[in-house]
Order: sequence, then structure tokens, then C-alpha cells
Amino acid sequence: MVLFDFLIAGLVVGGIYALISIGLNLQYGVARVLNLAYGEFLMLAGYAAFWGFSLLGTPPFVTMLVGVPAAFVGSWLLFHYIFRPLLGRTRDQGKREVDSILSTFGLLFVLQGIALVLWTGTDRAYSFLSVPLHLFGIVIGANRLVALVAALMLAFAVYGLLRYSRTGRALRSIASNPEASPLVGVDVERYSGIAFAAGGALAAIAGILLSTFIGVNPTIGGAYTIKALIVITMGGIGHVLGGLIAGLMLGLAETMGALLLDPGLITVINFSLFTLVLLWRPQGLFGGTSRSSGGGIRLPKEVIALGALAILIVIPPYLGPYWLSLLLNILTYGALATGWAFFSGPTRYISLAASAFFGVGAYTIAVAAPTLGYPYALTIAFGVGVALSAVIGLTTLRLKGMYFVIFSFGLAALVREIVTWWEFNIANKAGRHLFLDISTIEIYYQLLALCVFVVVIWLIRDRTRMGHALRVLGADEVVARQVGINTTALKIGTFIISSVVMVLAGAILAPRWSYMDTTVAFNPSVSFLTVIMALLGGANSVWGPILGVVPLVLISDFLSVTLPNYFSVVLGLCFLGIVFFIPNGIIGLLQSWRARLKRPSSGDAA
Amino acid sequence: MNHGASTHLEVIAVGRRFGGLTALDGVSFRVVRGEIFGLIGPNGSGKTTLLNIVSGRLNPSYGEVHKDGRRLSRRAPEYVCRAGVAGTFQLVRMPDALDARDNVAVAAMYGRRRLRINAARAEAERLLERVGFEASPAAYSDSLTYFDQKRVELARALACAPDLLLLDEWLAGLNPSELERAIVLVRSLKDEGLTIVLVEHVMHAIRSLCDRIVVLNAGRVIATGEPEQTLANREVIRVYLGEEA
Repeated sequence: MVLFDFLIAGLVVGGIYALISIGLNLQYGVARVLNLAYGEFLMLAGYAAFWGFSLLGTPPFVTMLVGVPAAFVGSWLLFHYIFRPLLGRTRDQGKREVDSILSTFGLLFVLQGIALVLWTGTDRAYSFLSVPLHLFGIVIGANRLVALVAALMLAFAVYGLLRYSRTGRALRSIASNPEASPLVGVDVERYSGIAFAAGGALAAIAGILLSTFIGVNPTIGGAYTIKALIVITMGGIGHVLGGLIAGLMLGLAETMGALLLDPGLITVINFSLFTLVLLWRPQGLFGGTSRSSGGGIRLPKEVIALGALAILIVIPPYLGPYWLSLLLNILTYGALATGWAFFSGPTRYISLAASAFFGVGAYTIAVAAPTLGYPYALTIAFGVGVALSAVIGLTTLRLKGMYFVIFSFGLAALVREIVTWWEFNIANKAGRHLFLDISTIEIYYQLLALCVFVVVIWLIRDRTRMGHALRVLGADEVVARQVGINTTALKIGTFIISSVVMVLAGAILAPRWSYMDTTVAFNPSVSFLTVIMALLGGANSVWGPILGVVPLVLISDFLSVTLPNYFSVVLGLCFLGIVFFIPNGIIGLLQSWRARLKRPSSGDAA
Repeated sequence: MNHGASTHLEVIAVGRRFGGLTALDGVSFRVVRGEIFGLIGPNGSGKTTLLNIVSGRLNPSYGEVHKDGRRLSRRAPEYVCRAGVAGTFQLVRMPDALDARDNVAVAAMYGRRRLRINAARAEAERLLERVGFEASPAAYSDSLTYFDQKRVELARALACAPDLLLLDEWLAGLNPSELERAIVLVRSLKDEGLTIVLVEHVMHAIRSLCDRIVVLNAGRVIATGEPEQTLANREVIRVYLGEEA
């Protein structure tokens, strides 16, 4: 009867996944906002339930009566004051996707930061309905059973409303074709707002139920966002019952996997399943890839760059430790952001996995350097980077648009989980001490060399056919292939170079740390900062990312000294601000200023 | 058929289903080297599906396509391009990340010739002039007339250095004077030795350009031969105009 036990256990776990995915399904499937801050909504609702219970003594179901309408109104306001103006800026679906990803990514850090400031990082748990129920001879917590029942009821209720009510029909018409819906009298913006708000309300229900059996802390959101994304992608975006089935399947697979393989591999199992499904059925709602671009950007900056390089080569011995470490920071992110943009800029595959490559590089050094010595370890890191990015590139670059973003978001977590699992179970280590005899100056020059390497490769690429091929590829892959470009090879080659640069950045910086564990090496804010900096500067041209790195490193350094507690909030707000006000990056801004300066003079000449 | 002329493209019993819908149902024909071959038929008869299969954008459900004895079907579009087949799209696709000249030049950098950047750009300018492009080569798609966008597409196809050119309704949507110039242009490409397969609805163009045509209806070949007598075929008149025209 062991099998039966696990069937029930799996269904209970799956019920939770189904429950948390329903709201995101509405927000993404109907309102077309891929809300990467969705897990933070769950987290906030969980806190509401906790504080309601422990301060006021109100049971979670009472909190729901207030919390769910509040979440509905809050999400509605969020949609109308942030996402609607943002998404209304362009009709280009590709650009909308990118904007929604970036802005919700910023929101994620804001909400997480607020929770951290207000309630600290402690796990908050309370005891409610945690009575064991004996069911078919096995024991389940009543609170978990409630979650399963709620998932089933909500999934069917939402499905029924979508299917049979007038509003539901309007929502489904938007989900399948937002362009044609106004033609038949559907107010797309109004109904998208309703769908987003309803998604927020469902997140509140899920978060409150979740808090009855899970401790809440400011960072629990990310894992749930990834799980919910996996579930809705597997079930079919916008298909509520599909999501229910996918959630239950995932729960079963996870429980079975934990039984047959190892409980530590749960995330790995989840993600492998997700990858298989995605690869088997890659094209989703957003099958198209064509997007408009800011146009070719080419500023004669080489002279300035050479001057800056000369200064960077000469100056380190004259700097104090503070300035040296600041420059080190700039160079690290310079390599990361430029390396990231090397692939993501022209191809427009937005990757949120920079921390995975960075961390793999750092960890390879931590593992290999003590026994083999630093030079060999660096070579191994290079090899690992090539192998890892080749495998990832070959399997995932056929994913398009949002699916690639979702995948890379999860990939970072997957790589961290695998390494963590390896460390605990195979290597039996919680972390690693690093005593390498490498001075800060040596690290500095290595990083500088890495930056120069990426820039030179990029410049060469721009001056050969490959630069043209990449631009066509980024704009319209069908045309690219039709004129004889082997797009698969081009994408994978570029992806490998880009990833290896990020791996090497981690490997070179690693000796700076005397102690390393997976939370240090695979810090998600590395992904966040890399993307934000590259986009702030402008990811389409070689000098863009560096232009973004300098101000942001200075700002974040300033913030971490003056406002350490609000670091994440302010950084998240900066990100939102960038998406709103500098859509084409600093280099785009410079370009439009130049154009504005030129216009009057050409008017005089006429 | 003239047995002195060699077969350039051979479509052998090609079929394609989309789910339950049969778009092509065992289509076969041969295109002779150096001729203009018309592919006509009412909307939904499978013409564009067939061109997509020849150009490698779509795999057939069954059947094969051969060119000069080489199999083209189930190959990647870039392979087909390098085998000497290039074409235009039914709806203009001109990436706005590049100006008109570079849109064409990139095809000369890849395609069959692999020219260096400067040589490719010179070739692009020559080809833009060849197709009668009227705007500045530095213009982007949003500032071009529809005809000029179509000319960029044609120049881009020619820049691949094909010996077989596929034109998917390249003459559609042009005004009468543009149409006359376009017809002269297509004929001159044939005179240079290109084999051309064109999908077209403009009857006047079909009559004045095509050496032979094949008529598709509901995914099957219903007639084939020289334009005048084929278009007079009762079956062809019936599918185009309804019963007993």
C-alpha cells in the first residue's frame, strides 16, 4: 500500500501547485503580464494571515474576507497605474513581453525588500488546522487537505466562469486574440485589468492557505513563481483545467521521484519534467519572433575607450583599497553585462540566468583550485563553461520569447539546486574555504583582460558578416534562414561565448572570497544586476552595457553604505524607472539627443 | 513536353496535412530549366503551402522535392538557399534592424556566395538598381513605398545568387503602371537564365509571362500546360468562376 500512500501524498503536493498557479494563469494567459513578482503576492498574503492570526487572533479564513478584496483592488491599481501605461506604449508584442518581464522583475525586488525591512528575514509560522486526519489508512494534515480541496474547487469555479459567463467569454477572447477582440466590442483594457486583479485575488487565497502549513519569510516567493510558471506552461497557458492536471502531475512526479531517487533532487526532477514538456511542445501563445529595434547604433567611441583603457592599466597601484574594490566591482559587472548583451542584445533572447554561469565559474575554482592550483582550475572553469553552455544552448535555444525567459529564470535555480545537492550529499560540505595566493591587483588585471576580450570579440563581430547575420536573426529568423544563414549554429556559438565570459567572470573573482557556499556563489541578484545594467546602458551596442554598469555600481555602492536596509527596494525602483523612462538605454538616449542637436543645424542649412 | 529541355525542379507526389486539413494531396509536376512556371488556383488551393515546402520552411507529410537530382524536401531553409533556390515572401518581410542596402547585402554575405562586407554592399547596390529600386539604399522599411519594399525583397532573393527563383504573389497589390514595369523586370530575369516559379492571381501577368502553368484546386493538380489553353479548360473555369461561366 506504499504506492497508494504516495499517490495521496503526491496529490496533496500537486494540489498546492495547482492552487498557486491559477492566479498566475489569469495574469499571464489573459492580462498578458508575465508577473515574475507573483510569488511575492503569495508572500504578502501569507504575512497578512500570519499577523492577523498572531496579533489579532483572527483565523486565516477571516483574513481572507478582508485580504482577498484588498488584493483584488491592489492588483487592479497596479495594473492600471503601472502595467497599462507600460504595455500601451507599444503594439509590438515582443517589446511588451520584455517590458512586462523587466518591470515585474523590479517589482519582485521592491516587494521583497519592503517585507525584509518591515518584518526581517525570520520564518513566520503559526499553527492552524494542523490536526492529523486519518484518511484511507494514511495521515494527512487537515490544512494541506484544505489546500487540495480549495485548488480543485477554485480551478473548476474559474474554469466554469471563463466558460459560461459573459465576462468569461470576453476574457477568453482576449486570451486567444487581443487584436481582434475590440472588433467584436470587447474592452480589452478593462477586462485585462479584471483578469489581472482576479489573479491577484487568487494569489491572496493561495498565499493565505499556504501560510497555514508553511513558514513565511521575505524570500519564499521566487520558488513559488517558478513552480507556478512550470505548471501553467505545462498545462497550456490560459487553460485552467490544464494547469490543474499539470499541477497534480507535478506533485505526483515529485513525490515519486523523492521516493525512488532522492528527496534533495525534487527541484531537479521538477525542472527536468518541465524542460521535457517545453522541448516536446515548444511553441506557445507567443509563437512569433519578429520585433522592431532601435536601429543600428554606431558611435566612434574607440578613442575614448583606448584612453580609458590606458588609465585603467596604469592607475591601480595608486589606488587605495576602497577605490580598487569599487573598480573591481565595475570590471566584474562590465564583463558580466557585456558578456550577457553579446548574446541577448542582438538575438533578443532575454536570459535571467547570469547568476548560474557566474556561480558555476566561482564554484569550479572553489572545488578545483585547492588541489590543482589556480591556472588549471581556471582552465577547467573555461571547459565547464563551454560544455554547460553548449548543452543548454543545444536544448533550449529553440524556445522562443517568453518560454526562453521562463526557462532561464528557472535554470538559475536548477543549477544552484544541483550544486547544493551535490555539495551536501556527495561532497559532504556545507561550504568551502578558499586560501589562494592571488592578490587583488592580479584579479583586477585578469578582469580587465576579460572585459577587453569581450569588447574586442564584439567589435570584430560587428565588422564581419556575423554582425549582419545576427541583426537579421534578431529581427526575423525566417528571413535569416531564407538567405542562407545557419541560425542554429550562429545562436549556439554566440551563446557559448557569452556564457563562457560570465563563467570566467565568476572564476576570476572567486579568490576574493575566503569562504564560499552556494548562496554566495549563486546569488540571484547577480542575474538581476547584469540584466538591469546591460539594459540601462543599451544591450544592442558594444559600449552600451559599460555605460550602464558604471552609474549602477556607483549607485548600489552608495545605497549599500547609506541605506543598507532599503537596498533591494531602491534597486527594484531603479529598475522600474529604467523600464519606464529609458526604454532604449543610455546609448539610445544619447543618440536621440544627438539627433535633436543635429536637426536645427540641418534646418539652418536648408 | 519538350524532352530536349532538362528538368530543373521536380515535385513528386507531395502532400501536406495540417491536423485534419489536407492542404496538398499528392501534387506532382516538373519545372524545365529556364522557363517561367506559373502556379495558380483559387485561395486555399495550396499554392503557398507548396512554395513553403520547396523553400524548406515546411516539411511535406509525404512526397519529395528534387532540384537537379538533389533532394530539397525535409531540408533546412539555409540548405535550400545554398542549393540555389531563393524567393520572396507573400507578405513582405523586411527586417527593420537593417537598411535597404544591408537587407540585400546580408544575402550576398551568406546565400551561395559568401562575399565580404564591402563586396556584398557593392553587389547590393547593383542589385537594387537592377530591380529599379527608387529610394535611398540607406532607407529603412518604414519609409519605403510598398513597391520598393517588394523590390528590396526581390533584390535580396537575387543576392543569394539562385538559379531558381520563387515569387509568391510578387506582382500583387501593384498599380497598373507598376505592374507593367514589374512584368518587364521578371521577363528580363528569365532572359538572364533564371528559372522562375511564380504564384500569381493577376491573369494578365500569367498570360504574358508564363511558359507553362499548373492549376491547383483543393490541394490537387487539375490542369497543366500552356497558359492560354489551360485557362480555357472547363474545369479551370469552373473552379475560378463557379458553375458554367
